[in-house]
Order: sequence, then C-alpha cells, then structure tokens
Amino acid sequence: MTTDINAENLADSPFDLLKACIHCGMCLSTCPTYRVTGSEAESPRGRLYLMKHLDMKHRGAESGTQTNERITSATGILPHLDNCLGCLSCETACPSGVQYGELLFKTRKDWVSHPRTFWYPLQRWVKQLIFSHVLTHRKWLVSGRHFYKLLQRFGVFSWLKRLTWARSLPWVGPALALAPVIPHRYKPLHPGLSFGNTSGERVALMLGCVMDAVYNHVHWATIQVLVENGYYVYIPEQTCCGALAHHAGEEAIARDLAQQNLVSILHSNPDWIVLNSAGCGSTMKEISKQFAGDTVFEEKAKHFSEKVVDIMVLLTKKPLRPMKKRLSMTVVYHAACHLQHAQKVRLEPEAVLRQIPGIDLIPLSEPELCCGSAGIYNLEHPEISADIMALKRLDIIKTQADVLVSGNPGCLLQFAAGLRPQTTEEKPIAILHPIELLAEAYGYRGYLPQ
Amino acid sequence: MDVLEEAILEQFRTAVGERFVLSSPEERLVYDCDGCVLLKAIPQAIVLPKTTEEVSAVVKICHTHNIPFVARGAGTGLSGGALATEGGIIIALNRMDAIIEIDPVSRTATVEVGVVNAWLNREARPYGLFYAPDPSSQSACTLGGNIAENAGGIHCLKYGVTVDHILGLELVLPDGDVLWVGSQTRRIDGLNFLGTIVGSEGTFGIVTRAVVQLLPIPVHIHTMLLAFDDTAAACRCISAIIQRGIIPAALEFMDAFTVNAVNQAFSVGFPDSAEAVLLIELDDKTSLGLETSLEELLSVVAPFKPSQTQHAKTEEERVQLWKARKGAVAAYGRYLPAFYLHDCVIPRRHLATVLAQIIAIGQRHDVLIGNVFHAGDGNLHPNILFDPDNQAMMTRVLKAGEEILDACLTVGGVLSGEHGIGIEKSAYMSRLFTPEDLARMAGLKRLFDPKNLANPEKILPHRSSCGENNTATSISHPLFTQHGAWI
Ligand SMILES: Cc1cc2nc3c(=O)[nH]c(=O)nc-3n(C[C@H](O)[C@H](O)[C@H](O)COP(=O)(O)OP(=O)(O)OC[C@H]3O[C@@H](n4cnc5c(N)ncnc54)[C@H](O)[C@@H]3O)c2cc1C
Ligand code: SF4
Ligand code: SF4
Ligand code: SF4
Ligand code: SF4
Repeated sequence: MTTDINAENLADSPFDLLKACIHCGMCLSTCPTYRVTGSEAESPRGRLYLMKHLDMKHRGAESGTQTNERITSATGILPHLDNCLGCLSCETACPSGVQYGELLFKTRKDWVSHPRTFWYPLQRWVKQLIFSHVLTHRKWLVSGRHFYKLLQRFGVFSWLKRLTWARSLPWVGPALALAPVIPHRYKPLHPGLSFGNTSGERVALMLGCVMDAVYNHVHWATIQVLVENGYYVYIPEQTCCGALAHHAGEEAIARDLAQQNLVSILHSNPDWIVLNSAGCGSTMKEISKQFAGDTVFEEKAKHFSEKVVDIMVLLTKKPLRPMKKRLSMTVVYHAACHLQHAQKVRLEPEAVLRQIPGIDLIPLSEPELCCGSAGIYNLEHPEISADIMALKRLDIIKTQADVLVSGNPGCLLQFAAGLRPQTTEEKPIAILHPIELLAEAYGYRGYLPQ
Repeated sequence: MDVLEEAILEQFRTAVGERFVLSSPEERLVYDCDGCVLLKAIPQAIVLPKTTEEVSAVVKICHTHNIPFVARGAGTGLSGGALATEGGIIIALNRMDAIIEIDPVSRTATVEVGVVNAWLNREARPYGLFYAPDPSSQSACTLGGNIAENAGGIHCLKYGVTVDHILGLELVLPDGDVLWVGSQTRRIDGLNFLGTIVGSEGTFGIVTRAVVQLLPIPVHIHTMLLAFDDTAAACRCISAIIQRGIIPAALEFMDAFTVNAVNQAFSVGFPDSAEAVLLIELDDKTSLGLETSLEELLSVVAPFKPSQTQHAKTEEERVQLWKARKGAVAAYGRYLPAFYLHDCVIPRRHLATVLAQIIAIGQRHDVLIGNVFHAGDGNLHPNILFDPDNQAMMTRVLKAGEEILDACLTVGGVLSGEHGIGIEKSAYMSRLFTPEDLARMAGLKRLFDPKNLANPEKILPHRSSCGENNTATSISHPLFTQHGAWI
C-alpha cells in the first residue's frame, strides 16, 4: 500500500477533519435547515464545503499567497454557518464519521470577531454581556423570573403582542411569540442543600440557568425520583454551563465558566454529576475536549466528563424501584438533539419511560428532527426556526398523544409556543420533562396539568 | 460563469418567490458538483420551485431566453449529471417533497419527485408495502434523481430497477409544456415513452411527479454473510448461485478493504481476516419456500468452502447488515477524502478474472481501490480513493480508472449499471456506439428538446473532439482534455 495514504495523517488537526467529508450527500435529508430552505448552502455538505473554502482563503492569507481565487468571501460564507442549528443530526447520519460539530464550533470561534453585518459588533457585545454577566448570576436570573411573572400577571405580554411594531422588532418579536407562561411554583434551590440518605451514591445536581429559572419544578422532580431510588442528591457550588457561549464561538467565556464548574463541583466529591437539561449536559460531557492538552486541568476535566450523566441515563444504571401510580395516557418522546445526536443518548429515555405503569409510547415518523429552538436560534433566526417547528408540529399532532416529553428546556419552551392548538378542534397536548412523569408515578403531585 | 443578469433573476423570483432564487457567489459555489467531486461547474443561479406550475414557469423563462437548465434532486449522483456545465441554471426539485397519495388497494403511490426514496418506504411500511429499488444512497437521494438515472440497488437483483416500478410520470418539457406519460396501471396505450424518459438523466425535460408501484413487504426473509479466504472462490460461488437459477433478493460482494472500512464506521464486526465477504438475502411468501431455497443455496455454496457463515438472527441484525453495506462507499471517507467510482456491468462469468485485473491495476498504479458491488447483476463498483489536493495521486487514479474501464469493456461489459453516463462517462460513449447509433440518440433528444436546453452536454458525447480523445489511453484523460481544468 502507498505511504501517502494514512487515515491517521488525515485527522491531525481539526481542519484536516474536513477531509473526512467525501461529498456523498447522505446527510442532506436529515438537516432541518436544508429541509425548510431547500438550499445546499444551508445543508451540512454545503456548509462543510464553505468551511473548506474559508479555511483555504484563511491559510492563503496567512502565508501571503492567495491560494484560492474563488469568488466567495468570508462575509458571504459566515451567515450560512450562523444559520446552522448545531443540532448535529448530520453527524448521526454521516457514514464517513465527519465530526461536523468540532468543525463548526472551531470555525465559529476563529471567525467570531469577523463582522458579518453592520449591527454584528453590537449584537456580539450584547451577547457577550449576557453570557458572562447575566446567566452567571443566579440572583439576576431569579429576580428576572419574578419580574417576568409580575409582567405576565399584569398582562404586559399579551398587550405587547398586539402591537405590530413590537412584534416586528428583532429578538423582541420572536421572544414575544415564545413568551412562555411560567408555572407558578418556584421553590428555590441553592448550593448546600442536600436530600436523601447519605449512604446512597452521591449525586451532584447541576441546575443550569434556563432550566432553573423557568422549570425549577423539574429539579424537584429529579430530586424526588433520585431519592426514591436511593441516591443522595446535593446542590454543589456552580455557575452557568457555558453552552450558549460555546455554541456562539465565545470560547474565552465558555472556558472560564467551565473551569469554575470543574473546580467547585469536583471538590464536592460526587459519584455522578447529573443534568436534566440536554444542552448543558452535552457541554459538560465535552469539557474534557475543551481542556485537552492543558497541563493543569486535562486530567481533572477527563475525570469530570466521566461523571457527567443525563438523568434518564442514570436511571438505567440500576433497576428502578417500583412505581405506585398508573398514568393512563399516550405519550410521545421528543429526543433533544443534544441528547440523541450530541451525547448519542438514544435508547435510555424511552426505556425508562416504558417502565411507567399505564403509559403508551407512540413513535414519531421523524424522531431525528430538531424542534428549531437550538439555544437562542429561535430568537436570531425566527423564520427558519418557525418553519422547522411547523414540520415537527405535523409529525407530533398526527399522533394525537396526550403528552409530549422532552429532556431539554429549549425544546420545552419551543413546544410550549409551537404546539398551542391552532384550531378549536385540535386536541391540546401537555408538554413535560420526562422526569415529571416519573415523579408522578412515584406518587408526587402537581406535575400533570388538570 | 457569471451570475445571470438581474432582469432575468427578477423573473425567476416572480415565478417562485424571493427566497427561492439563489444567486450569491457562496450559494452558487456549493452547487458546483454532485457526489462526483472530480468534475466542477458553477451554475449561474439556482431556482427552487415548489409546484409543477412553478417548474413550468421557470422552464418557460429559460426557453424564451435560451438559458440551459439542469434538474437536480439531492445531488448524490456519481456521474456529474447535475452540473451546469454549459452555464445556465440549476432547477433543484428537493422542495417538491409531498407524497400525494398511497393507494394500498392498487398498491401504488403518487409522489412529487423531491421525495427522498427512504421517506416513501417509511410512509408505505404501515400498509405492509415497500418501494423496491433501494440505491445505497436511499436515505438521501430523491425519486426524481432515481428516475433520471434509472437507479438500481441491492434488492434490484430480484425486483428489478427503477424503470420496472414506474407506472406513469409528469414531465415538464423543455418549452414549459406539461406532459403525462404512462398511466395508473401497468399498461400503456400508444407509443410508450416511459422507458425512454426513465434513465434520460434530465435531458428530455424535468420530471415533476410519478406514479410508482409498491410491493408487499416479504414476510419470510433470511439474510446471511459468507466469508472467503480467496476472492476467486467467492466469485465462482456467485456464478454457481446464478447458474443454479436461484434468485436471491440480494447478493452483494465486499472485499477485505471495504470490510475494514465498514467495521470502523458501523462496528458491525464483519470477519476482518476474510479476503471477500458475500451478503446474501433470500425472501419468500412462505416459510417452507424460504427453507427450501436456503437449503439449496447452502448446498451450492458448500463446495467453495466459505471460512465463515453468519446468519442474521433478528430483524435488528439484518437492518444493521444492510446499513453497513449501504454506508460502505461513504465509509471510505475514513481513509481518503474522495472517491472515483466506476459502475461497469460485466457478464457474470468474468467476475473472477476482471476482479483480479482490477486488483492488479490498483497495485500497479499504487492506488487504493475498494470493491463493493451488486454481485448478482455483475455490476462492479471499483472505488478508487484519492485526495484531490495530491496531484501526483490524481494522475495515477485517472490512469487506473481508464484501465479498469478497458478491462470491463474488453469482456463485453457496459459503462454504467445504475449511476448514469452524465458528463463523466459521456466521452466514453463512442467506445460502445457507432456514430450512427449516437446520431439516432441525438435525433430523439432533438425531438423533445430542439433548442438543446435540458441538461445539455450530458450522456451524448458533445463536441466533435470527444470521439478522438477517448481512444487515446494516455494520461490526457478525456475528462480533462475535453473540458479544460475541471478540478
Ligand atoms: C454513497 C452513494 C451510494 C450510491 N449508491 C447507489 C446505488 O446503490 N444505486 C444507484 O443506482 N445509485 C447510487 N448512487 C448514485 C445516486 O445516488 C443515484 O444516481 C440517485 O438516483 C441520484 O439521485 P439524486 O436525487 O441525488 O439526483 P441528482 O444527483 O441530483 O441528479 C442526478 C441526475 O438526475 C437528473 N435529475 C434529478 N432530478 C430530476 C428530475 N426531477 N427530472 C429530470 N431529471 C432529474 C439530474 O439532472 C442529474 O442528471 C449512490 C451515490 C452515493 C453518493
Ligand atoms: S454524509 Fe458525511 S461525508 Fe457525506 S456529505 Fe455529509 S458530511 Fe460529507
Ligand atoms: S448541525 Fe443540524 S442544522 Fe447544522 S448542518 Fe448539521 S443537521 Fe444541519
Ligand atoms: S442552559 Fe446551560 S448554557 Fe444555557 S444558560 Fe443555562 S447553564 Fe447556561
Ligand atoms: S431545542 Fe431541542 S430539538 Fe431543538 S435544537 Fe435544542 S435540543 Fe434540538
């Protein structure tokens, strides 16, 4: 065999990862943005092709030689990469093993300061502010939640929604369309709290900020189910997981947050680090990649990643204690992309759900399809996001299920808005986190809608 | 080629909507090739219609302004068929993705052409039906692309290729008129154009809808894997099976290199010490019938001494086997970033000799060749792997490709089993056909497309120089000499 042919040589640097793409197109039909726009430039294969050109231009510029005389420009290419959800459905589909996520996030990081539009620098500044100063302060988030509830109480949102000019504002308009009705119960959780018998395996529960601010009751359900199953659950010192910053290419912020979590959570000596938010979970699981090659943190990060586990996966590690209550209902499970594609968690959630007495799980036709939420994608790209939701909606409504469950706050928010009945005949569908059904089945109350 | 002028783009926008006319440099760049990365041509714009009416309106604009147009499905084609080599626009049909009707009583489906092959199967399954032609790319390729290429697949040995399953179709002619060909039944009155249009690679116009036949999913299926220490023995085994008159639903060959790639990609645990692996599937309406043919098959196989025989025990195992087989070509991406894939069909009795020649050619030119193919049909798929950035390797690859083609044609083979002629093989057409034959084909094309706007330059050798070039077996490969620098 020839000497210049060597699979290892190809995978040396992230950009050689690009070579793994052989342009076969097997990933196209699973890509939500390709499905709704029809454009190859909004497909994984097209984006990889554009990344390749960006890389060639970049290298040409660096070495002083313009190797690539093509007609494209970075300003023209980057919006197509920004339009990507990062759902990684294409990674699941690709037989050639292309590490699309690696490539996308690396490119976004390298080009994060390149202005695509006139407003881009301002937008970036606002995002940076939110990522590093708002999401990281639990107090702000909790106050934000209370303020939001207050506005909701006085009907401010429904009033704003009637104003055409407000609806047409970027970010604000799409946010109004989503504006979730936040549940009333809020029982604060803070570092230092612990539950269950200290003899059980030690579970450090990571709260995430969106999950805690909007769906705080999901944490309580998680704690209840874990304690029922003999675990000792505690809340360690922690901050935002940094997923949003990471996906936006703000690597410095993401790394700083990751480091804080790494140190404080490992210090508490957990057996498991549990998350009930798929988005945060996938970022936490990948911490080891972020610190690869770091002299101080590499080992620690590896250790940390090994302990990170999604709640539904942890529940498959041991046989579940028997559940007391029958829940007679039909349920569809929406697999969050950050579980099924990023964390490759495919079978466990449904395996756990099937053990709940009385539940009838109905399969979706296109279980791999994203909901279009993707962090703040739905705020930044409302049109594509809504089109994806419309596809997803058809598939879900067809099942006539009573309940939809999904293990990610982003999906839950998106569905809360996107699955509102559009006609009076349409049957309303309840939207829950899977762990809420388990908590109910263990006899806890108040998770199911009346 | 430059972008189309604004006034014409504006007409397209009126026809299909603002969002669905792509004209920026970046949007055009990504349409410069299909599944075959050897050949590249940037279109002047891309139009994404949603309905037959929109397609017709777009084609009419092209007709008026003499703009060539090229249909495109998913762009998984392997012969450069979906490239705008003569300039003009690409009309991509992937947004026309509605399954209009599945009729379980007459066992037919009416579909728009942008429907992905695997989606039709997904929707037909609840009725106990399936659409038989299953190209390995079925999870992505469109039925329109399948019709245009007359695609085949693993299960086509028993069930026939695309043309055997198309009952009728709607064609937008190159002047924008809409024509229905065929019917809802298996019989057609008058001249039967159906067989002409299926496989015409978009050179007669754009197919927008089709009525396809569905078959009942076979109830009793047995899938197995045979490993051999000797490639020739595996080939002789194939010939023996065919000679005995057994028609398996599928009979596929993989060489050791492919087995390795597939093991890496899918962790299927194929025997990696084997020189060759055959995947065989039998199906039957009754379990008794299945048992009888299985027994017969095993007795035919025994003298060739397979080193291992594995039987799929569950449906999951079976699905996994085929998933690995269908992902094989793409799994080569784990070794080198691109492949050049030939698609010759040879008389089956020559399998062993030609395969040995292919292996020798690979060694002589120091290139990696993976062989994975539809053995039952004698449809070879030698995949020559390459790195487009490595010029020296490219030259060796093209040379090897040409020699392989030679070897196949010498034993009486044909150029393409299922991937079509496109642009990539058009230069070789005069090897197989006399100038008179080719002139007759061109005459038929003119009948449908007098202005030569529908996918021009495909299938038929276009320029007078082709005929001269392709007889030369020098490094001046026809692909390059004919069109200048493609890469
Ligand atoms: C990994 C891999 C495996 C493959 N395996 C197989 C296989 O097993 N069997 C097989 O047969 N092929 C196979 N192919 C080749 C390819 O998938 C088929 O040729 C497929 O039919 C192309 O469909 P498409 O939608 O991608 O068409 P495209 O590539 O977009 O187009 C192919 C041709 O069809 C024309 N066309 C497309 N749509 C229309 C339309 N609506 N009307 C008129 N003309 C149209 C185009 O102009 C072009 O000439 C494989 C390809 C890959 C990458
Ligand atoms: S499936 Fe993989 S190799 Fe094929 S085009 Fe997509 S990313 Fe590239
Ligand atoms: S990550 Fe999702 S949206 Fe982005 S290219 Fe892949 S499939 Fe498409
Ligand atoms: S969900 Fe995760 S990334 Fe998102 S804001 Fe909360 S902790 Fe940060
Ligand atoms: S919100 Fe859910 S479905 Fe949507 S991108 Fe995130 S994980 Fe995927």
